[in-house]
This record gives sequence, structure tokens and C-alpha cells, in this order.
Amino acid sequence: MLPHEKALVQRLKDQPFALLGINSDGEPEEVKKMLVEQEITWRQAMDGDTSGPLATRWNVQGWPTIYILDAEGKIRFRDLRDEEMEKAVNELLAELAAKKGGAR
Amino acid sequence: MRSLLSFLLVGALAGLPVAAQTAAAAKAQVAPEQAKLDALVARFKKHQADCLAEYQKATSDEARNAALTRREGREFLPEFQALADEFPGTDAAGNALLWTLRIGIIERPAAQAVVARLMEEHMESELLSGLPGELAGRAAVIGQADVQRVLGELVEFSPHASVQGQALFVLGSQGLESKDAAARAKARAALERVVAEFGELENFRGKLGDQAGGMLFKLDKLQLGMVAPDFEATDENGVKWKLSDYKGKVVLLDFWGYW
Repeated sequence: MLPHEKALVQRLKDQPFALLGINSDGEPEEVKKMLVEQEITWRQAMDGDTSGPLATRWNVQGWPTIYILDAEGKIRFRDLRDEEMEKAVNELLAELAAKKGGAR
Repeated sequence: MRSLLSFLLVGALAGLPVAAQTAAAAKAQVAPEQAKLDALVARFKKHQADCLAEYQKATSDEARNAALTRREGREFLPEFQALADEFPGTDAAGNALLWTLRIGIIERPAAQAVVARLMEEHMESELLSGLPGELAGRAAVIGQADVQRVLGELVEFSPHASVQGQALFVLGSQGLESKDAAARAKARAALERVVAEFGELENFRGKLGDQAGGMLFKLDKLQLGMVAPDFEATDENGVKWKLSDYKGKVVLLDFWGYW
């Protein structure tokens, strides 16, 4: 997952796209060290352990769990990995670009 | 309940000479069957820890698999069963029966017999609050239909809220995945009861109310096509952010751990 995500963030850095991590690795100080070591630059939520409040609220039973939202915040895809995940993001970005183009 | 009982016993013994008092109190606190069970559980746990250490030191797949198989502790199964037979009806016996369900290799007839015996001999005991969790983990061995029936009986016949709540939670979380709409509706009702009446009970993942709430939340709010509910979070530098800050962008939300 990580190499794929890094490539995605790099490739889409000028696009209306955000990767948001909900992290369940524990104490923020420790997580921060790991993020620096792993050169993970995207936004994170510190959710504590796997029973953290967000993971519990969203009933996350396995890690990673992925939700892909369109620009309106609608859930469009769930639980995709790697190439499939990338394809879904591309599709939504194309959709957004087409909408913006149409509005102009 | 147990601590209140010991407190009363200690109080009742206050008039005795110190030595006799200590010995009697110790005796009163740990029944022989309980002491035997504690020793057996300690041996079983040590066995598992030893096998785990062996697994971690192993250098071949073969050695690793052998360590994992040994870790199941097949040889402990008859010991727990014998203890249950020796002291029938006691809480130690009931707990020994629960332990047999935790040992990885128990087979269907034996598992069904254990469950039947727990239901017959221990329905009045709160120790059955440990049963729903074991049934959840053993549903494939025991059979889904039997598990559902037993859970239903626990809700109906146990006098203890903790047993009822744990049973409802497992009933709800299992039925939610059912293909049958009526079963799903029943599961939802069970989870709603857990949230309303048994929310403070806990299992190894925390409070049942939070978990049941999450299951209902996912069902109602996290389906494809729905607008993702907003949330507030804090990043590793203590900076707060909200999901809605990212409106207008395609968002990939990744629940993850590096572990």
C-alpha cells in the first residue's frame, strides 16, 4: 500500500485530491517518528489503537480500510487496493474535471 | 459480588486468632476446584507463551508450523474436561468448559456437548457472559443455526444483564451480514437494544454500545452513494482538521496502521 500511496500523492500533487490517513498505531509521538522515517507527508488523524473512536464509529474491522469520496463528499468506492484504488481516484478526478469544464 | 462475599467472610472471621483467621480466609477465598482451575489455566498459558517463543526463534516454515500446532494445546482439552467432570455445577467447572471452547482443536460433537452442558448446568451463573464471545469465534465449528438458538436462549433465560447483553451483541453483529431481510431486521433490533440497554458492557475491543453503534452507523450512513458523515480529527502535531475541510476535492480516506 505505502509505495502506491506515495506515488499517488506525488502524481496528483497539483490536482484537487487529498489522501487522508486515519492512523491506529498508537501514541502521536511514536506515530510522528514513524511518519518522518517513512516520509509520509499527507494529512493524518491520530486515532489511538485499533479500538480508536473513529475506527469504532466507522466500524472498521480490518486495516487498511479504504473509502473513496467524490468532490461532493459522497462515498463512491469502498475497500479497493493499489491499481483498483488508483483507477477509482482517476475516474473521480476525470468526472470532476468534466463537470468543471461543463460549467464554464 | 465475589469481592462483597470475601468482605463479608473476612468480617465474620474477625474474632478468630490471626493465624487461624488467615488460613480460614485463604481457604474461604479460593475453593479447591478454583485453585485447580487457576493452576491449569496458568500451565496452559505458559505452554502457549513457550510455543510462541519457539515460533519466533524458528528458522524454517516447518518449525514455525510445528510450533503453531503445538501452541493449540490439544493435550489440555481432556484436562479441562476432567476438571469440569470432577466438580460439576461449580463456577470453576463452568469456566473449565468455557476454556475447552477456546482451545483451537475442539470438534463439533464435543463443542456442542460443552455448550449444551453450560446451558443446562450454569444458566443461573453470570459466567455465561463469556459464552457469546466464544460462540462467535466457534460458529463454524458449532454450526450457525445452533449458535443463533443458544444466543436466543441466553437472552431469554439468563437472569444476568451481562449475559443478555453479550448474547444480543453477538446475535446482532452476526445477523447483520445475513442475506435474509427478516434476519437483518432482527439483528438491527438486537444492536439497537445493545446501544440502549447494555452499552456499558465490554468485550476485548471495548464497550459494546460503541461497537454496536458503529455497526448501525455503517449500515445507515456509510453506504455507497451517501455523503460521508463529517468528523473532526487531530493530526500528529495536534492540529485539528475536519473531513468537510476537503470538500471540493476527491478524497481517499485510509484507515491504516504501519505496525
